[in-house]
Amino acid sequence: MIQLSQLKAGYDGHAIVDISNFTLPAGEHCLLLGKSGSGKTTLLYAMAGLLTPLSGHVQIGAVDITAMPAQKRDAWRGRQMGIIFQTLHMVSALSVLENVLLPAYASGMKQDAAYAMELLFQLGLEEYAHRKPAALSQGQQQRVAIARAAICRPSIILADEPTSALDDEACESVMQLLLDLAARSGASLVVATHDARIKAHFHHSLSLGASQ
Amino acid sequence: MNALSLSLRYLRHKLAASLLHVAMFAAGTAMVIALLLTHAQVHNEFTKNLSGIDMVVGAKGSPLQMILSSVFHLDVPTGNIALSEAEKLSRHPLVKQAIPVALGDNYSGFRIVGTDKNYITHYGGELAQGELFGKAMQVVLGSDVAQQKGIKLGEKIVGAHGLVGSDDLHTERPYTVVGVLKPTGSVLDRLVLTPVESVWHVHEYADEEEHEHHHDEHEHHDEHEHDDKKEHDDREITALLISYASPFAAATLPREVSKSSSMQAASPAFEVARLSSFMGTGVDTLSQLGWFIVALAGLSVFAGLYQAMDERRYEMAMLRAFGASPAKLLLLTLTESMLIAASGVALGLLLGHAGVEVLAAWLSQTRHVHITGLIFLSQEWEVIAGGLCVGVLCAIVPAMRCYRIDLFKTLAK
Repeated sequence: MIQLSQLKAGYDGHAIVDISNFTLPAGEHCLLLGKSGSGKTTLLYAMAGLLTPLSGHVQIGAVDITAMPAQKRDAWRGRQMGIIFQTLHMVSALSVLENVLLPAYASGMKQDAAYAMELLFQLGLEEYAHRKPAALSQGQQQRVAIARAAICRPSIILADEPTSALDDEACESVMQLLLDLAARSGASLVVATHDARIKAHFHHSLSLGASQ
Repeated sequence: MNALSLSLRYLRHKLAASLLHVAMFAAGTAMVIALLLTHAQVHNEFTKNLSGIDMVVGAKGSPLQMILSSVFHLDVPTGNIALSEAEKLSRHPLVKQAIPVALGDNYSGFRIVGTDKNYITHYGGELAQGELFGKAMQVVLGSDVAQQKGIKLGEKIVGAHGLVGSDDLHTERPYTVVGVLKPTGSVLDRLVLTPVESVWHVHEYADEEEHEHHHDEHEHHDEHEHDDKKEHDDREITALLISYASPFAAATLPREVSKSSSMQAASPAFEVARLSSFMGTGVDTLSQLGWFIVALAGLSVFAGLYQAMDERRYEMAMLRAFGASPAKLLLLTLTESMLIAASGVALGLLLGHAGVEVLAAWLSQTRHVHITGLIFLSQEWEVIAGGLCVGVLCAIVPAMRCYRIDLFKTLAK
């Protein structure tokens, strides 16, 4: 369950997002909609605890992550959340497989190479496992980022514009993969996007920027 | 995956840059090491030659010249002093030991020094083969002389007049090699040592030939030629190396010598200090330039490595987003930085020592300075520690900064 209350988030003391109350039940998915600059990414980062809100609370399950000290919050996020950044931030020195395993290394969880290979197989990337990310297309790298977000079996997967750079076919297949992975571990999927093509997959949505 | 395997991946991925950083580190370290080694050893060689000699007594002239000629064997002597006066001074109660030095001849550019056995023991000379000289015309060779000329025991060598190589050979009076010394690292290595009597012997003969019919005095000499032990009023030596029996001697003895005799006294330590004050500006500038280059190298190593670590802040921010603790990030940057620092320092040590050894090979041909790259000074530990500290510093700052940066601004860009 994700619960936002009286949340004001932004940076340099300037609130971009202002949400009085929002609740997403556990295991359900949600879309954060809005034009670019409307604060989708800001809200997503606030929910991930990567951005400290100006005021208000982000409660995930029984935990208020806004009240946690930074270091504890990082450790908590590593175990509970998978994140797909808009800029993929692949580590070019590492192989695709190692990139997928990186969050497990960072959070100190088991580096389950067999599970990583299984994820890559599911995403149709098993033959690229030992190649460098630079050898992959943008769409393929996007799928590596999905595998990386899923490696620690998170309860919440946060994705920032995961489909906007993809064509219709790839967009549909990426969405399907995300939903499958989320379903497998019972995770909630929160996607920030302006991509209207994927609206159909979500029951919940939060529109941003309408008031501004 | 762990800190080490990740670091190795990063270093291999940017191989050229990694090697450049290692090379910069190595160059800086090698420079400091070379500077340390040469400085310490040249200084050591100088003081080694001075050790235990409190005062040098010789003919009046430039005190510095007297010290250089009779202690370091670098310059020509100021002249000679009468043996009788020298012996009188040797018996002074404030004199613990007085070693005579009689110069005048050379063997292939190596000085032949007329002295006594105390000279050899004073510099810690030990026999490698043979025995010490017992009577006139026997010589003991310093290690460099024996090695460079390839002389064996029992061979005869012929001295030449003067202190540098010349054609004026004393062929009629050859010396017999009875001993060879082990290397001492002091001036002893470059000398041919013989009893003082040999020098008189050779020159009486020479004088006799030159002035055969002109000088009554020398005919007088001839009568006593085979009895060197008998007192000769006009026998001379070049200088007397004196060690004091008591510290009080320093206050009175030099003045006493200069006032009451035709000789002059000088303190080697004082003269060397004076000499280095003459050359001081030059030497200081040179060593300051050396340290400046070293500081520059250290700075460029720091800047280069710091930038390399700083370029990784996106990846470190991402690792933080994935749950890495500050300790984990620090360990990761530290491992990478230390891999570079440690291999750079190790390579630098090797290069520094090898460089000095090459320099030593070149210097040994000029015969005045003996150094080696094959020793390890305790200060080198400080250099190693310093190098590794630069490595630690380069790792800590970016790791700490990563915990202060705004993850949102870094990752959402």
